[in-house]
Amino acid sequence: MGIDGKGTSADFDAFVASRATALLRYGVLLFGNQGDAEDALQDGLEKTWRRWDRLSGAAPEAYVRQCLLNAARDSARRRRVRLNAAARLFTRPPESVTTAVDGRDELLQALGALPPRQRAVLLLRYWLDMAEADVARELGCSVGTVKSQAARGLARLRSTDARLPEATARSTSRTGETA
Amino acid sequence: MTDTELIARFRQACEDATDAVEAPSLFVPARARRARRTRWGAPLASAVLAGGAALGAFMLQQQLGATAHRSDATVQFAGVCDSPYNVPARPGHVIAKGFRVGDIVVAPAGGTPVPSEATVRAQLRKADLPVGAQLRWASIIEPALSPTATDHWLLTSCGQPGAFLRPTATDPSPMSRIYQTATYSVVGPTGQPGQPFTVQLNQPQCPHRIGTAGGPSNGKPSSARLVDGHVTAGLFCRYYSVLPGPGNKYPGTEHGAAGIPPDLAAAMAKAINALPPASGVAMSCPNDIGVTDVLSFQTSNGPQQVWVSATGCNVFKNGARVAIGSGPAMATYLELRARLVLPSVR
Repeated sequence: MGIDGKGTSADFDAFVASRATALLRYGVLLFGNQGDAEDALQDGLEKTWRRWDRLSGAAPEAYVRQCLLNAARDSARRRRVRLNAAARLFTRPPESVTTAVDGRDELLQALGALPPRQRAVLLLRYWLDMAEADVARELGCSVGTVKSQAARGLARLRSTDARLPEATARSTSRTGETA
Repeated sequence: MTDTELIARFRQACEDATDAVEAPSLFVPARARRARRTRWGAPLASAVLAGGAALGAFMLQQQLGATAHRSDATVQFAGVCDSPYNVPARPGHVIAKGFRVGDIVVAPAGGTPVPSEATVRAQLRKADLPVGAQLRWASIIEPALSPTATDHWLLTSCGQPGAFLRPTATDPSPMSRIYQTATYSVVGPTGQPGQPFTVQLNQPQCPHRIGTAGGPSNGKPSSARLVDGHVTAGLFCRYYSVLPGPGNKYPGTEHGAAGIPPDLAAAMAKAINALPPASGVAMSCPNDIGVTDVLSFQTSNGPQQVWVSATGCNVFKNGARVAIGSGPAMATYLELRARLVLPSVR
């Protein structure tokens, strides 16, 4: 069934089926917990559907990511505190009893302590491996802003990394295949 | 560490953290299509306060002395689902008394804190209950308790005619008052009970004096474990030594307390159950100055307490079994306990 003669319902279904998990994973890292991410993603998908006739030929995924970021920023603003993503994401002791010492938690805690937009820059640039120009386009800022935000974000991560036990850092760095 | 190494570690951490995340079947576009048709008029937040919202859970909340948007019907679930979704409360139909959903408080208008709709939904989501359930305010009858209709917040699928709420467990232990929990199961038209769920009605509090805690008498001799059952929450209470002394101003009184989140409580119970038994072990504990930790676990078998001598030999006991705090399990327990904000032992 066509919608205004443009994007179709089937297209939207296919988009959700193929990209929902990836978007949800981005949301989980952005929000720090799956519940909020699912809610925000569902809302984002609704907004996307309303504009599907205009978005279907463009970049719906970027639009949904922008919705997630806006939701994260709104949430942070409402609470007047920065989302401590990892503090909520990693309240799962049965697993984290062993993983807490490998440095992963610390990195994600540092990520969660960043402002939402800086968090988004790090995720888009280094996790999703997007080019700086693409990140800038998606976030509606300049390439220079992306560079500076990424550098500051990395610095924050590095300061966390410096606090890790030496043995932990060594053992973890061995697993970093691209290092 | 170079930027490349740091980025690689960051990327790996992100991958690890989201590896198990999958979009649930909840993400069907149907809701989105509905949204396009209706442009989503009333926000869900007002719907929650109005007593009707599409929420992914079943749940019941008691102890409300409030007036709210409600069905006029009073016979079991009849009429509970008559009112449409997303309708703001009518004038005069307000929440007059706060109530808890999980560990958040839904406060009356003007009260603080007022959780967002997303926060309420996130709490309800933790119950991991069927999609399509709704939060409703209704008058219902609980046959096992009283033939008289009472008002409750409840969660219902609105698809099980004749279902009613049945209390399935009570806790006779002396510590029960700190939890004030009740377990309910939803009984459908077939008469078969659904998955029980537990609602925490009040913020748990430690007894002020250890003498009123009742002692570790809840252990079942038939159980091989110190903590038996699926642990859903916990409370940690630390008490000054009952032995008076120059450094002990408040013998036997509460020194500190901390709520234990569900996952942490489960992990602590697991570690405690892995401790070696004390049977046949001769102990000398000269450093035991009498500081006691009381761990109260909320489990599928009801509240259970484990008393721990926090100094000396670190003996764990539940009234039926005794374990020694040593070995890898003790190390794990200490690591987990360190996540709680507690006063130091003195």
